[in-house]
Amino acid sequence: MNRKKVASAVMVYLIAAGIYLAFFSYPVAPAHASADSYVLQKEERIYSTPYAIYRLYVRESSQPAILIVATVRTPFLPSKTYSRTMGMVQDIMEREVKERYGVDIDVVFKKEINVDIGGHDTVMQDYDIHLKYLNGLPGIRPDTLKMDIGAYFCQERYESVIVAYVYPPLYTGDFDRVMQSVSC
Amino acid sequence: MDIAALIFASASLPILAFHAVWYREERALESVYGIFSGIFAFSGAIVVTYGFPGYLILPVTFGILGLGSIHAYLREKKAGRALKAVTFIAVSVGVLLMEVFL
Repeated sequence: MNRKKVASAVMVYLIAAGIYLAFFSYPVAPAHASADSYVLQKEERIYSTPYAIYRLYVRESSQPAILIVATVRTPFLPSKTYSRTMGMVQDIMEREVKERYGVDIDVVFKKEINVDIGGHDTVMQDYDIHLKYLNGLPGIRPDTLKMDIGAYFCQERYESVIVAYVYPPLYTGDFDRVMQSVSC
Repeated sequence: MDIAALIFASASLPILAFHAVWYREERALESVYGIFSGIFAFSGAIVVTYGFPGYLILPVTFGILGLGSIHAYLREKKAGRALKAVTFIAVSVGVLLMEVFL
């Protein structure tokens, strides 16, 4: 009797663990941005457990602004998932900046700022990206871009959303409307 | 309701079922705590969508199971109950620490 009980207890916790695994592997509905002039260019999965996907939007011009919205399946916003996904999103963003501007870059942390992203209070890390042009003088291109990265937990969908936005001084005015256009 | 929320909530059902099926007179106290922890985990997972902090669900669930074992130990003074209590409380604290620091 006792052995049967222990076996069923082990089974019960294994089933519960399996269900949690299914939860973390369940695909997310990717968070998205709807700001005018920002066009979806890429949607790619980052990893499958926890399920994470990102969307890349670009405001095309000679000085493009780039927005990445990543979505991760979580029951809250755990620090490890937060920093791991944020690091990954930052790497993707830095690669995009290097490719689109044809530069090498130096990223310098400036400060933390509080931002309202689609109705969620979010702390964002604010960076300066110094551009080191590889093909001579930049012409009308800037020598510094702004990068802001932050995350919030979208409780209604059991997803964490990580937002990274890089913009030249030309598009500083876009910041609020871009952040407001992000939703999960 | 979101399917992810239902999957997350349903993880507590096997534990609830276990305590209901194994409900016996001699361990009624632990079963009651077990059933209560299952109900807490299920409803907690559902109300996350309304703002309940999701990181509390697992630690509190195991904490309730630990309390059940402590209660049973205080009544019966059996070493097995004390061992279960220590295990459940350790898991509860461990999960909470993992969620905060990892």
